[in-house]
Formats: sequence, C-alpha cells, structure tokens
Amino acid sequence: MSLNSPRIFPRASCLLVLLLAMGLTACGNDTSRTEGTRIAVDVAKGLKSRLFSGKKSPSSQSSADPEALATIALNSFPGPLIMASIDSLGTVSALGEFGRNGDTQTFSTAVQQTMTFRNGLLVGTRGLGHDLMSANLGPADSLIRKRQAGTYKRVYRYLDGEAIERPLPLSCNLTVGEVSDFTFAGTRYSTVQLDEACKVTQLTVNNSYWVTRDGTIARSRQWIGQVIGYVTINLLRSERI
Amino acid sequence: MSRRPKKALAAAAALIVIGAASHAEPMLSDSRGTFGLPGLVDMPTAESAPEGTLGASVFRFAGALRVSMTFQVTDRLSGAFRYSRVPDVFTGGSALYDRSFDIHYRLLDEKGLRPAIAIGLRDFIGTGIYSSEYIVATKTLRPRLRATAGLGWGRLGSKGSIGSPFGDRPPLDFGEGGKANTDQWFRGPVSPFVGLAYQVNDKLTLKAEYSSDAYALETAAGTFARDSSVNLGFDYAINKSASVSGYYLHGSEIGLQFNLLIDPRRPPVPSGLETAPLPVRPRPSPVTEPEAWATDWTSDPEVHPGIQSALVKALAKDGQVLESMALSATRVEVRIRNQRYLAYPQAIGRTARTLTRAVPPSVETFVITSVVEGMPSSSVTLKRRDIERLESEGSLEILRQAEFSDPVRGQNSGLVPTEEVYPRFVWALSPYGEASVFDPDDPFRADVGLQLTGRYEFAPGLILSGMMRKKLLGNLDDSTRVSDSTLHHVRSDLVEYQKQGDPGLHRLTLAWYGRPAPDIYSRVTVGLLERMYGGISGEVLWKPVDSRLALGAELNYVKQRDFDTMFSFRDYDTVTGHASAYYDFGKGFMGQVDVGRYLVGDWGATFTLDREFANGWKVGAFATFTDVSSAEFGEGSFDKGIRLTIPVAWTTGKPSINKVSTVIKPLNRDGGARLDVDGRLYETIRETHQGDMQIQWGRFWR
Repeated sequence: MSLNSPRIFPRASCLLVLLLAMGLTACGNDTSRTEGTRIAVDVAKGLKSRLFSGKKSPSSQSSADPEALATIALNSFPGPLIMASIDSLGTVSALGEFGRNGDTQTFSTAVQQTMTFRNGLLVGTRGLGHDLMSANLGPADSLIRKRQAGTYKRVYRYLDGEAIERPLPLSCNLTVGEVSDFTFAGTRYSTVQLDEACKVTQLTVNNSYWVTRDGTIARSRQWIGQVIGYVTINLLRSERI
Repeated sequence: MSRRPKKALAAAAALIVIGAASHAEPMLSDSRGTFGLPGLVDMPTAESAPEGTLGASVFRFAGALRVSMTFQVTDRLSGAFRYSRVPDVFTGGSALYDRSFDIHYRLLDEKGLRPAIAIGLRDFIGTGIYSSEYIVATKTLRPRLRATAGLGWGRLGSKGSIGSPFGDRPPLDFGEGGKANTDQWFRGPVSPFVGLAYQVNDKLTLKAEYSSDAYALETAAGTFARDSSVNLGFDYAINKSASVSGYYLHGSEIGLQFNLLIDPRRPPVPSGLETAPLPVRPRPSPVTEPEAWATDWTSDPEVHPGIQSALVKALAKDGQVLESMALSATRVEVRIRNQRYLAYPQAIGRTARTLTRAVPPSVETFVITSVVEGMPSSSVTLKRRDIERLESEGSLEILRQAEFSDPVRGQNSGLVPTEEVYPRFVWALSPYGEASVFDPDDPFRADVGLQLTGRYEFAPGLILSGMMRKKLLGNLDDSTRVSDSTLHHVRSDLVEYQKQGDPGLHRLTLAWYGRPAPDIYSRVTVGLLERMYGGISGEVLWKPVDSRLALGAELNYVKQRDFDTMFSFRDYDTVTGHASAYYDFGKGFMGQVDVGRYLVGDWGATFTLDREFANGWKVGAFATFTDVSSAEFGEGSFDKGIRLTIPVAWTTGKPSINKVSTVIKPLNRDGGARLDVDGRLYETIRETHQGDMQIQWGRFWR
C-alpha cells in the first residue's frame, strides 16, 4: 500500500535497517519469541554473503579427495563405513554405521544426516531435505545379491509439499552387465555390474550396482529422489573391526 | 460499434450450447486480471487458479489503485478481497478508499467442444463501486490460445448494452455498506464482452479484450479518458511466484500490475533440514539371550530414575521435555512436551525410537502422551515390536497399529515427575512491528520497537506470563482519526492506546489449565488479559481425542483498561462470553460457530471457516452478526475479516513449532467485538488429537 505515497520509501528502508540492527540484539531462552529474529538475521547474513563474497562456504567438501577422506574415516571409526557422494549437493561424506535393525542398516554423517539400506539398497534418507521416506524393494535386493536379471515393481515414498506421504510406484528391469575390477581405499574388488532401469510415465530411474561374488555391493549409484538425484556409494568396511 | 457485441454474444451462446463427450479438465491459469482473479484485463475469464493458491496483486493506473488478495478456496470457488483507491470521485476532489469482496465459481469444465463456464460477483458486499455480475465462457482454441466471451451486469453492463432481461437494476442502497447487494444482482442492462489470451511461451502471455465497462465514475471525475473499448495487456512471469503485467487501457492509459502467487503446497525451501532421528535399536532374541528379557530390574530402585534421567537427556536433543514417566516390567508411559516439531506425529515417532534404546527388552507397550500447557491431552499407544518391524515401511503401516486415547482415562499410577522441569522460566527480548493499514488519511502506518516477554510455570498448567512493549520508532501516533462510533468505544479507540500506551504492559496474566474429567479441558485466566481489557476469563472444552466435533463455553468478566496500558482501568466493565462449536469437515475444511454476548453487550454469533493444509497453513474468513444495527455499527455494517496462519518451518525448512498468524479486518469497530484472551483451549490442544495427527502422520518416521 506504500505505492501511492512515494515519500514512504526512505522511511521503509530506514525501518528495515533498524529491524536488522535490532535483530542482533534479540535475546532470551524462549525460542518461540526469538526465532523470528534469528531467521531475519540468517536471511540478512545469507544476503550479505551472496552480495559480498563469491567464495563457497568452507563447509562444502566438494574439493576433498575421496581416497584421502576414506583413509581418515577408516582410521577414526572402527565400525562399518561407507562413502557417499551426492552430485547435486556437491558433497562427499563418510558415513558410519548408526543402527542395525534386521536386514536394514542406517549410516550417519558426522552431523547426523542418515541413509538407510536394506541389504545394500537405499530405502531411506533423513536430514538432507526432500528425503526418501521409505521404499519397498520387491525382489530387487535378492536378485542383485544373486547377480540375476529380473523384472519387478518397487515403490519409493516421499513427503509432498504439504508433508503428506506419497508413493511413487515404479516398474523395473534388472540386467546383468559387464565384469568390473577396481580398487577403492586400498581394497580390490572383483564385481559384476547390474543395471536397474525403473520407469513410471515420464520418469526413468537408472540405478547401478557393482556386486562381488559373495553378494556384497561394493559400489552403487542409487536414486534418492527427483530433487536430490543420485548418490554414489562406496563400501569402505562392512564389519566392525 | 453496436453490431460487434451482438455478434460476440451469438458466439458466446454458440459456445455454451455446443457440447460433446470427452474428458473434462479444470481450466486453470496463473495469469491474473486487474481485479486479482484469473482474467483478461478488466474482464473475467472462466478460469480458476490451482486449488489452494493464494494471490496478491497491486494494480496502478491513472491515479487509481487496486490491491487484491485472492484465494482459490476449492477447485471451483475463488474469492478475492480488495482495497482500492479511486481518485477524485467525491465532491471536493477527494479519493474514495474502498474495500470490496468478489466470488467466482467455475460451473462447468471444458469438455470436447464445450467451453468452461463460470459465474461471478464482483464487489458484492459494501459500497459497490465495482459492483457487477457476470457469466463467462472460455474455450481453448489452440494449446496456447484461449478465447473468452461473456455477459456482464452492473458495471460490466455499463457499455454496449443489449437490453435488461431480468428487469431494472434498483439503485444501490448501501447505508453503512457491508451488506450483500442481493436485489441488484443480474438486474439492469446486460452487455457482452470478449477477449483472447495467447501464451507466447512459459513466461509471456498476451491479452486483448473488448470491454463492457464504461468507466462512468472515473470519466465523470475527469481522471480517466475512455477513448476505446479495447484493452491490451501482457503478463510476464519473473519466477514461479512473481509476475508483472502491463496494460494499455481504453486507448488512453497505461496500467502496471505486480502479482504474487503462493501455493502453500510448494514451500520455498526443502523441508526436513534437521538432524536425523535415532534409529530403532532392536531387542536381542529371547531365545538366544533370555537373560536380557528378565524383569528382576523392576525391584531395583536405581533403574527407574536412571532410565528417566538418560531419557531426559536424549529427548532434550530432539526438543522434547520429559515431564514424567511411569515404567513397569511390560509398559512405559512418557509424558512429553513437544517444543520442536510442528507435526506431533514426528515428535511421537522420534520419542518412540528413543525409547527402544532406553528401556529394558521386557517393556512391550509404549504409551506416549503429549502434554500441552501442563495438560495431558492425548496418548498414542504403540507396540514395541511394531516399531521394530515397521521402521523402514510406509507411515500408514504404523498408523494402523497406533491407538489414540485420552490420558485421563488411562492408567495414571506410577508416574514420576522429572525433577527440575518445574518451576520453569523462559523470557525473551525481541523486536516487534505493528502496522495500521486501510486508514484513508495514510493507508500505511507502522511502529517498530522492542518487546519483552516472560513466562514462569510454577507447576504443570499454572503459568504466569506477560508481555511489555517499548516503541523505538514509528508514526502510528500521527493518526488524527477519532472514533465516530455511537456505541461505547470497546475497540475503536485503538489509536489512543497506540498513542498513549508507550511503554505498554500489553499482557500480564496468571493462567491455570486443567483436566477436570475425561474429554474435558479447562482454563482460568486472570489479570491484564489483553491490551484493552483486564479481568477474569474462564473456559471449558469438550473434545474427545477421536472426535471431529468439539464444544466449548467461555465466560469473562472484564474491565476496560486505560489508554496508558498500565495498571489503571476506565469506567467500563462487562460480562462477555460464548458457547462455541468446532467441526472438522474433512478435506481440510474446519468450521467454528461462536454464539454469545460481545464486548459492547451485543448478542450474536461469529461464523468462521478455515481451509487448512497438512503442513500447517491456514486460510480462513469470519463474519460476526449481532443485534447491533448496521446504523449503530457504522461503516461496514458488521464485523468480518480474513485470517492467515503460516508455519515458520515452511519458510525455513528447519523444524519449529512456531507459526505466524495474522487477521486482516477492513475495519475495527465496536459491534461484534470479542475479547482477545491468550491460550484458548481448542487451538491449544487440537494438534495433539487424532484428526490433526492422522493428517500429519507422514512425518512419524521422520
């Protein structure tokens, strides 16, 4: 409504500056009252860093050498470990085993973002935003471990913008690909590549798994969801030492 | 000139008559007209916005202004509220500031050759400067080209009329405004209008229309020249939510418009930027490790306090306060106060997983009770084996196993309060802003300053709290408006409070919340209840955990506070109170009726309807009708307004229970005014009950 009164603009910008200045003074232990100010300060800081700095924030690990990171992780954590890199987020992180429940295994980053796998297949993520809430695999995990081709249906579940859970059913075709030998973080793997192509209407998901003779998934590239895209997972250690 | 409208009308009629069988689709558009709803330029179309979207638009032309807020209430029904300025229409050359409401309903969807058809009323309540009615058809000719033809009455029938099929239009008797102008609807001269909209690409839409609005008022005032009936326009989308429109109006004027579209279902940031939940820790097998399942720990006095203090710490990391706990060999009940997650199922899901890591294997039943304002308000009972079994499954699986109940009906023995939860003191010093809009002298005024809040909880449900404000800067006190109300000024002296109440003690109350019986909640609040009133307020609410219906009663004795907003009172006191019914209609619609006595001693009822989204967004409208006559009420005739609630977590993606709520009222008058006491029971407890929890249950495993 300020449009019909041009003189209000200098006044409004003055108010804005004052509000931001006051934002820095908000204090107290009642978060229901201080949160608004904290958000305003965060927004102002974000704007400032966008305006005055071309550098990426130092927390981004995109330039980290995966092998070096793997060595550090192996030396500092005794339990099962994986390495995950998410292209769209530009992150490479080591995740240590956080919990095990039946055939599912949950791994966590240092800042408690988690990925949950059932027999090596991703069935959930938490703390990334746009998370995969859960997944029904159908026979995918047993076929992959047996390095066998097959056709089946599987379901991914997400929360929509209203936070209502929505299933995404997919029709999948699993094919056996080429033999592939590689070394990662000091361990040599002899694997066969399995490619899983899943489809629903306009969407195609292409997951790949590199599986050893004993059914271990040494490396995989798996889909998290439409927003985050794919994560590449390398096995660092499968059992506690 | 007179031939073209007739042709257009014939075309419109032909479009309406032709129908063919094929799949019907709702006709949607993000492109707005100058009245804020989907449309061409001034003329409407039969389109709707996507269901649930909120719009705001500011349109300026020839010294005039239209600020519109719109809401797509259902798939077919749209509503708009508008604040507009029309320059120089009054004698003496002063501008008219006017508030108006529109509704638009899509009757038929496009199907085969049949166009979509909609009916609408513009400015149907109030002083009626834009009053008009229409029936309009829109047809998709090419994937990117839509044609519209319609018939308009009232202002939309003021140019190129083809007759008055439903009789003469009676003159508008608006009195104090605010009444529906029903006797005018679809009466008087009717004129056809036509137009085209061409979507050049995803960003740009071009529009042209043949207008049936004579702009009689504006041309008479000399502020507008209507040289042509043709309006041209473009609409350019800056991003998903913002767009600009430009118009060449009636061959003489340029108009500019800025539009915002907000879809509550599309948060600006990803949700779920939070630390992950603790994973479930399954129990060892009772076959291989039977000793782990022993129950002899129940006789060890150290176990209960040890587990409780470990749980207090673990739950605190998730923003949950463990108020009390009862633990037996097979059952644990925890009473938690959720301070972090907007969706209670998320708080409960996380607590359940934490419990699997804390209590001995023999404990099979988990009862998680939500406590709000010290009142245990719902219990969710879960089997531990279901939590273990369903951790990585869809949330519906665990919902099927969850039992909701009233904790007052449950076992209440053995609950051990956590030490050091009470007394509890929280405070904050933070900035505040207060704005005044719709004042014709200066439609926007604001103050900013500092606000000090404090809250001391002596025991569960016994709370002393207060709020004080000190203005630092602002111009609210520039207002020279003096209330012209002939009633006692129960609300209309707001400006006096703004001028004299600095610093002001806005609230200082002692509240006592309780659970006197199953399904019953109670509240008593005494003190300086709000900015303008102090006294005593009592409330009871009946709300079974699984009920869509709730009934409440509130009774208050209050005295009006002095303008200085400290401890003295004015010479006015009254008894006010309401009986209330709340009903969850499903599909996101929530209704409320309050019947009773209002602040000026008037009797009547308030009707409220909210459209609620599972993520916490709410958009609602209310109207109050009392035995105060519209003449006594003054401008606007009765109290009405719009309310909006936005959860903070929606804007940040980070977990938070906080919400931002606002009420937009065109006028603050004295009839139909309610006491504004803090912590009314229904809103306090409803999120912990089954209906709200089921809608948000998708977050259980998050």
